[in-house]
Amino acid sequence: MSDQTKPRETIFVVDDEPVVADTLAAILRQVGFATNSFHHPQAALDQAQINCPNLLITDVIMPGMTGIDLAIQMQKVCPQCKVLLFSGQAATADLLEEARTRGHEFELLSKPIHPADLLAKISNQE
Amino acid sequence: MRDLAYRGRVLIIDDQDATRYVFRRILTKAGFQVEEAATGAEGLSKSLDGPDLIISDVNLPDMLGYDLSRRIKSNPVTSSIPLLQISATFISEESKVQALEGGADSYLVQPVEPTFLVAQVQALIRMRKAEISSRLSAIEWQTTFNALNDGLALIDPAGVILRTNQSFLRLLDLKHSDAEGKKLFEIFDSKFGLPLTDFLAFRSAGQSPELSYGSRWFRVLYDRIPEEPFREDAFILLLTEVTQQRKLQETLKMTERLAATGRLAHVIAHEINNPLEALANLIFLVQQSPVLDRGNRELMNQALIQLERISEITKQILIYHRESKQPVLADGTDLLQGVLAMFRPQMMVNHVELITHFKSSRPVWVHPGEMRQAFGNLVSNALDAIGEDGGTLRVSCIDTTDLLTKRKGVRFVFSDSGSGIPQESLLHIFDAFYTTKDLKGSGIGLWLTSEVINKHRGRVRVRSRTSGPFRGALFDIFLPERRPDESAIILQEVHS
Repeated sequence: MSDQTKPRETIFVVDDEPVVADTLAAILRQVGFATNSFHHPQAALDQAQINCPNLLITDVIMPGMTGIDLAIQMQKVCPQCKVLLFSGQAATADLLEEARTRGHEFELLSKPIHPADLLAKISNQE
Repeated sequence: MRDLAYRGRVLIIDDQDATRYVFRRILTKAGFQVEEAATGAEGLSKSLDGPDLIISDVNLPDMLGYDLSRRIKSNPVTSSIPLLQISATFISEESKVQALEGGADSYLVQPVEPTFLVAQVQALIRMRKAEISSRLSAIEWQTTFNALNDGLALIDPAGVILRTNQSFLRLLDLKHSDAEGKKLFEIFDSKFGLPLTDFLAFRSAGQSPELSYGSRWFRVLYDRIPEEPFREDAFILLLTEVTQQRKLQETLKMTERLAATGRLAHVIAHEINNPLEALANLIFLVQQSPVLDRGNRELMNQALIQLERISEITKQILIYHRESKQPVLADGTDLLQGVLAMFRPQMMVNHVELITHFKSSRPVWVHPGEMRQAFGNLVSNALDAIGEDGGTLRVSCIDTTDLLTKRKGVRFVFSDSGSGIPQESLLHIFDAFYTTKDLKGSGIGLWLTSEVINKHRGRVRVRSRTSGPFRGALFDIFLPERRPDESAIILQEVHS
């Protein structure tokens, strides 16, 4: 990929709160990313089978599957996929610690995060 | 038939061989063991062997019978041995009285009917045995009384303390002379700070109040001992220490409170942070709109600033309560700064100058929430001690090696310019329910702090001055670098 034309990076945004997922996707779309928003972790995994994202931004505590499990499974399907977790919950510290003992290190952002800060974070990830 | 059972040992003191012979025959036949002495001196020395009874002639060659009896009764070794005096010559009532006043327990005149002698001897020995066993049971009773963990006091109908056991004195820091013979209401006033009449009013209202003295709590029972009719009743006061139960209850309450705060934090996190996130995104999207005029764009900016303020509040609460069950590696400086931030407003209002010295690069394994609570209590106390007129709080955090145990770790020092802790309180400040703040304090804070620090295998030391240029209290905390269960964790990792 060349540096001249900015490649269309694909970002998956997953949050069980639709407004959060959708608005975040809209912001990312505005700055030029190809973005998909999902309200169920499994839907994101299904889509990944077809099209691997470059970056996964996911909530941590969701019904059905935690964001950490989603991230681990996502990286099995798409090894190149980077992960940003974001959560407003108090119980995530244990989950993260547990993931660490299993050899997975993820960055956790706390909600709410100013969209500008998030964009800065994403450009650092690249 | 001869009764061979051992009935007791009798010492016969008589200078007449014949008399001794007759007595020996009679008594041996009745089952007694018999010793003999021909003089008062010999008798006195044999009495030291502790016979069960002494029979003595009044008319001895070397001393008078009542001299002998006086000497036997005045020697503590022999004083409890019953003494039977026998005489053929001094038969006047006067001499009988004299013998009895000299300490003889009984007096017989020769010639003595054998069955009558045996009956007398048996009666005297039985009496002695009863006396010994009652003395033993009195000792036993006092020992039991003293062995009780509960404090016990007997109070006469006039409210005067008759007798107490050792626990009673120990629990209330009293000496014998402070309690026995004193009025009960004085003890109530000085120890529990509660008038006895109030206590009795509670009691008759069916409540059994728990009373505190120092850092101890007692359940107090006060009951009537019914005596003979037509006599006023005495009372018994029973103190049962319930400090441990209280501690347990308070710990439960505290844990519940912390859990409730935790749940609240959780709700705030989930219910507020998600909408905040959505709101921030929505405002951001509106701001990006090309058709927004300058005025509205400015309004949106303002909205975003207000939203930031709310986020800051929820973030503070979350940092304070986000808790992990696992200890985590944390930077001491970060921990301290998080705690100090919570107290900034109070410091500003009370003109407290905060001087920090953070020079630690060594992370420590901690349960961050608990440690924040522990540190928070120290800061809160320091600010209370400084009061509203301003002062200085110095907080430092440096890498160190514990001199005693040679463990590496981090040292946290909190030193304030407040009123200091009086010497007599220093011993108790880590006790549960000990407070110097009267109704303002729960007596939980420092206790919890020391519990948390102990749990982290650290230690806390305190120094204090209540006057002079270096007035104030200093808390010095050491936390070891090593995780308490480090070896276990490494093993686990090797196996998994």
